[in-house]
Amino acid sequence: MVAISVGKEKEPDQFRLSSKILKEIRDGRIMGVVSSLVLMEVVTVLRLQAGWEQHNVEFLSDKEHLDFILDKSEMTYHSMMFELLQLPNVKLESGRHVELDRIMKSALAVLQKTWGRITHSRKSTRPGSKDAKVGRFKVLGSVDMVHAFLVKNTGCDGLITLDRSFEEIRGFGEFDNMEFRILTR
Amino acid sequence: MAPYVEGRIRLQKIGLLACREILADKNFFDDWRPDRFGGFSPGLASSLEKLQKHGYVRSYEAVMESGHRVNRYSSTRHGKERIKDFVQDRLLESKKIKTIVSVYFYCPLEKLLSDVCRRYPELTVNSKIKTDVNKASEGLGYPDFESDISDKPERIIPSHISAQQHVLGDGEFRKELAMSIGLKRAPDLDPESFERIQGIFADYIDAEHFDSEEMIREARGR
Repeated sequence: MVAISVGKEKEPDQFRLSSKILKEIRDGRIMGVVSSLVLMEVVTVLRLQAGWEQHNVEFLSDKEHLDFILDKSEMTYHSMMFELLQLPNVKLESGRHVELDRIMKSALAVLQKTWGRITHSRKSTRPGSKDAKVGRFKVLGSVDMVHAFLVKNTGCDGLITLDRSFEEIRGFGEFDNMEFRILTR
Repeated sequence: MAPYVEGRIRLQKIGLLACREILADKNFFDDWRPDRFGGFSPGLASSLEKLQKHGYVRSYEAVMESGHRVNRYSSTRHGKERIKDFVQDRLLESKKIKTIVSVYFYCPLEKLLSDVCRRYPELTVNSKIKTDVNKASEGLGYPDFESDISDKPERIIPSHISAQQHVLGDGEFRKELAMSIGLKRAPDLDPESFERIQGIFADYIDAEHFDSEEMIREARGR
């Protein structure tokens, strides 16, 4: 959603990958389902971005800055929503048809079984010095797990994401009949 | 960058500010005259109609919290392409105009009217709202200016496909989402929205590059 809406000039790689999915939806080969959980994340992303960029508007007070962030993100979201509501072959899922308690219990059970992975990145401390290794533990989070079970409980065939963390979820029996399309660069 | 300009009055006043403050030496719409709501340019009004007719600007109807209907105007992809070179040649002026649009996008209409009336008192001679605007600027209350507008409903996005034909069971949620963004009902399906939604955030993000994957992780607290 976000990659498509941002467009190819600012995000060429993700847009290229996501636009293929959009084409499949447009051609009727798949039906897209957008949950309210996804919409919430879009709102959060827009607010974060507006917050980071708010320093460009220097002549506003602190309160006006906050109002600016909230209003800007809201209006941006409204524009996207207006177009989203017009897309054929797209369903909007409010969660009305799913069993939330079942989703939460299942998500908790699987989360307790997930493994994470350690990733390393090199980080220079100063020019000419030896690179320092920085290790991070990456694991699928609770929200990701809820996403996955929401997809399953809604009756969807699969989940499409740019988030490579969903690699962790493959191999769990609960999702054997589901397709996880992880769009990677 | 604001996603649209809401209402003809706001559009006229922002146009006035742009013409007088930024493009003063460019002879853009120099036909401003006093009108009911302050300065009005017949040239700008006529150009707006032409731009809509040629598909460079589109408008759709929205319902405000007060229940009044208002048109929202935004440039189309076609329109943005058309003025790309113009914007590039006048980058500084374009940025200033975008700033004006953005700042007043988030302000109540009465603030915009108040600022314009103060700047150009010669255009308030026939204004029927001058007293009210002065009251508002003195903190004496905010009359409902939008209720004075008799905008005819403009073109609703056409569609040949009803939502029920394609999607089952989300009609109520669609309506709720539509109302949450100020519409009276869910818009009809329109295949052209596949084109319009692509890059719809581009103007709103000032950064040159954006990483949605990273942003989603940030949003999820990872």
